[in-house]
Amino acid sequence: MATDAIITLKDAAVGYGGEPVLTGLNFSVRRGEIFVVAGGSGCGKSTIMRTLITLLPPMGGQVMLDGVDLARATGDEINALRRRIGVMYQSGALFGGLTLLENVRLPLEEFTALSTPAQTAVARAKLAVVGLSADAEKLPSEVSGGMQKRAAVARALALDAPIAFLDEPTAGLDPVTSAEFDELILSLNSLLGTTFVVVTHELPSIERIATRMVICDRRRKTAVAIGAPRELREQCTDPEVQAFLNRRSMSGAGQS
Amino acid sequence: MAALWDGVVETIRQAPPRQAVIDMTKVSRVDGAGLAMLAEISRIIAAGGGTLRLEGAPAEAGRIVDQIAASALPPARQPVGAIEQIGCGVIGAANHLGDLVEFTGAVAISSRAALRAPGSVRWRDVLSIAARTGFDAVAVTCLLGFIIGFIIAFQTLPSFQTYGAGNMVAVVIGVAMVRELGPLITGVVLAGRSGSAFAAELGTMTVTNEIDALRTFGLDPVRFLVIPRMLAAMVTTPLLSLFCTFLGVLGGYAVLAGTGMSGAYFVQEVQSAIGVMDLLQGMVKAGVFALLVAGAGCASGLQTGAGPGAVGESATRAVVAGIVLVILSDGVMGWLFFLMGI
Repeated sequence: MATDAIITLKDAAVGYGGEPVLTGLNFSVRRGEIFVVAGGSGCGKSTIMRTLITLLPPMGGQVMLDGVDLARATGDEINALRRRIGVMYQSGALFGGLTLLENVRLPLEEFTALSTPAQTAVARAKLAVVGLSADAEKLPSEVSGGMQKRAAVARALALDAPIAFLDEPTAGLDPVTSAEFDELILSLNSLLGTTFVVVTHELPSIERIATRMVICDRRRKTAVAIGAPRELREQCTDPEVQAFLNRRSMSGAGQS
Repeated sequence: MAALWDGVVETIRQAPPRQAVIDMTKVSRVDGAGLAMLAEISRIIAAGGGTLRLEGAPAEAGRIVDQIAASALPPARQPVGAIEQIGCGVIGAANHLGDLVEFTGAVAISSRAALRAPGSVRWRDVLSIAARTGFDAVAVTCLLGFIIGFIIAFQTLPSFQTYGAGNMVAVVIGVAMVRELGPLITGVVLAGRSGSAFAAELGTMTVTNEIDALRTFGLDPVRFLVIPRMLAAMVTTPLLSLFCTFLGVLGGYAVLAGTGMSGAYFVQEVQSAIGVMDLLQGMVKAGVFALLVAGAGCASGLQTGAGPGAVGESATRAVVAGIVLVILSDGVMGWLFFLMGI
């Protein structure tokens, strides 16, 4: 069952305020893979993510997430689904008044019948996995941006969600911290079997972690390529895809 | 540059040549304003059907000038007319009203859930918020109550004394503080201190995606953040109002003591005018103010938009809405209590 789809988009359109940002999206994410949503700034990567994490309703077509049709699901179904996904926001979005440990423990308090000591133990274990044991009692404002992001991943995985969404996890991190973060994603993926959907435009990161990727294009308002990064670089003839994967400017000769 | 621009560009604009050559062989460097001027000249000449050639310019400079000249400028933004402004205002107000109805509904649903399962309320949060909205506000509320009681007694005393009814000031102070001013002052202090704080807290959480994070956890922000704040405010405000009332009456006595009135006589006079129902009425008012101020603060925080000024705007909106709601509801409740004969 390694290749069955956990997320499927069929002719889907995403956007907000009545304006579609991307249309005709057709791709699926397989269980257990690290799937990257890539593309230039403003191409709608984050809109896809906001749709998949159920904060925006799809504007058309079909979006299936772990067996739930997002366009037709009831409020209760969406709420149940939300407990099966973990989300790391670009800013980390840790609760500022709670320590890192309390942040990770919060979903456990709300959704499990574990005793308080057990919740604490689980939360500590999650923080240990992301390498933050020593900082468990610190407030988010007392740790670095990279550490906040690590804590946010620990919180996203607190309930052992089968799917984790990461929004620009390495944006704003130095190259070494960024590489460490990629290692963390890879190890969590192999250790826990979590499916990762990562929104990013950082090529080194994509090359390190992506099993497969989709590239979105702002001008054509749709996904222009889907596949493994190396496969796309070697085989895809689309000029925009080549420009993206080879860091070339689209102005001048390659303009379409 | 300004003189050059006005001279050259205006001359060319008045009589655009069919063909023009600008000799740039002796130009060693060109800055942004220079490029803009060349592009402007090129545009004017092109509009008249002519062509411009840059003689001896580096290829890069020529390319950039062409790029600037060819870029289509969007039409300048038209100033918004009065009718359009009114329309935008109405649409904005309608959207705001819709949001408010949605918020009120969400609060009602969460309140019902909280009543059915009191264990689901985050009591620890209620306690810490109550400490901030209640305990931390005791000093300022008491101070304001004392000063206002003092001022009312001080201002009204001479008029009453003219008719030989100086002791009636005790009654005035008692009725005014217990039924009206105690709760009202507390409500206004609450709007200024806690309404704004709630809006800023929830607004910041909206801006930093913390509210989104709660939603994607499947946690309802209203149950999680709004209900504890409302509960905390509703528990502490009637108590604050009691303190404020007591200190206001005391402030009044501070003036009357100067006229030689004894404490026992003052208490007797106040008691003759005020009953338990009056005290209760004041506390009910304070509770309603708390509900409205906390609700307005939280609603405003959750509606925070994007950008650096958004949180500030939310806090301002919360204070203004809070004070307006306190005074409006005070009037409505005063009328209702009058109809009920209390």
